[in-house]
Amino acid sequence: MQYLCLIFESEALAAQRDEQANMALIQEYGKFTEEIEATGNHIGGEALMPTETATTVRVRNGETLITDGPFAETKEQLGGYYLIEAATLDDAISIAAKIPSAKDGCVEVRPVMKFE
Amino acid sequence: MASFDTDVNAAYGTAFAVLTKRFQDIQQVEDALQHACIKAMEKQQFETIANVKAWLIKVATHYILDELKKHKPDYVEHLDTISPVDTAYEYDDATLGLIFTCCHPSLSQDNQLALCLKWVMGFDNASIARALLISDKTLEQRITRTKRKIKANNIEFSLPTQSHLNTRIDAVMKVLYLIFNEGYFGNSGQVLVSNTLCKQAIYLMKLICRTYRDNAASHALLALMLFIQARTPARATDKVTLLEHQDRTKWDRAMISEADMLLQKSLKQDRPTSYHIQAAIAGLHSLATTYENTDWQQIVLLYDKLLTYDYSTAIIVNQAVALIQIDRLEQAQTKLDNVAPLLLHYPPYFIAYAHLLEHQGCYGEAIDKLNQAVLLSKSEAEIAFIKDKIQYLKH
Repeated sequence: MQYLCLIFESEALAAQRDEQANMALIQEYGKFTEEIEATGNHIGGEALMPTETATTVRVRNGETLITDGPFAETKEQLGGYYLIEAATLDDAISIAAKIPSAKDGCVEVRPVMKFE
Repeated sequence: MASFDTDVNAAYGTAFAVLTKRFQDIQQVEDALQHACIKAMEKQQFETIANVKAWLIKVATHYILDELKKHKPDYVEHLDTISPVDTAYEYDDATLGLIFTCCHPSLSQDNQLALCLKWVMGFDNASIARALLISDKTLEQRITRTKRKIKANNIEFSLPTQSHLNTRIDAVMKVLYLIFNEGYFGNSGQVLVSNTLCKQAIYLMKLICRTYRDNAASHALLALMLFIQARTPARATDKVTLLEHQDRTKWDRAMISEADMLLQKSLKQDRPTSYHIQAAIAGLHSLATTYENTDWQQIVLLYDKLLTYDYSTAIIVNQAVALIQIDRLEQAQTKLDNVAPLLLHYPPYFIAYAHLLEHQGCYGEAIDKLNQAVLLSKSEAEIAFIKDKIQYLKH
């Protein structure tokens, strides 16, 4: 069963991190990724550039509407994701709890839809 | 026919638990059980079904297997090896698994409660909606949404693995605690329903304690339930009977001893939880020979401790009542005044305040507070009790 772990974090707080703290976090992520690769839970995952780089696209009546910025202003922003394989939701939740940003941000766990 | 309906209702929860554990598909199981219940009613016109549970499980299993044979022939071969389930142990095991599914921490507590009442305890939607103070329609929507979430996330109908037990068991205990409290102190007003809730919560807690012997919190919670349940014979059925007015010779002493033993045992195992403190308070009441002889001093201290776990205004009100008993009236008044703005709609607050005023000799003001409580109360049993009290103060 596949789950997508969406990682949300406050960009404002992230901007306050100094170089050293950033390096430490990157190392933590590296270690976490290695761990779930070793256990076979890792399918994929990436970090995203901040929401100031986002563009939102809609098509209405055949016309493409382009807006600068993310689709919604929120306190915490989507900053990355992992796509994981887990036997049960319990396992998926345990893995999500180990994602480094779960400590100050949050992780939304969503099952991936299957088409038969 | 009436008794047969009751048999089916009682058997439905177990059958649902066994079948979901076996097939892991809610919709399939609900369809099959509906079919089995109709068949049972037809059969019942000609002969008696000795074991309704086993019969429902058998007929529903055959129904599902027949359906599967039509659509997924390969899958069925694997299922044919399943042995029939008909021992009490296997029933209990399936029921326990079902509670864990209903109380999965990814579901909101309201939804956990609704599912438990429906699937584990077998209540109909109308009764559940009344108990949760929501409309039938809202309940149906919630249940539909929750079923979808369980299916989409592949939440299993089985016991959690040992490594996940700690994150799972707290939610189960909290829901059983809420169900018991609703049964004993709740506003549902129907004696029969209330009794069933308390008995079922205790039955399920016993199941949990038997399965997880090392879990101290669950033993403390069971002790708490038993201490309180033991007072049932001393309560009137039509109105609230305060501890103060209960005939203590009617209390179930065997149940109190059982609770006491459980609590002592659970205190040795682990650091105390809020259930331990609550059980200790209930225990002090149960062991006191009269209301006046209760160790109120100790109870006041335990409430202080309880507030460090869970700061709740309801606890403050109870603590104030304990303070009144040991004539610390000023302290009681300060406590009640502090929480007053938060409890403008909470009848027990006004009852406690009236109690304080009565001790201060202000009967007129006490009656005013009680009249306010009558206006706020939604429970007939509570209103009957308050009106008695008003009559008493008038004389």
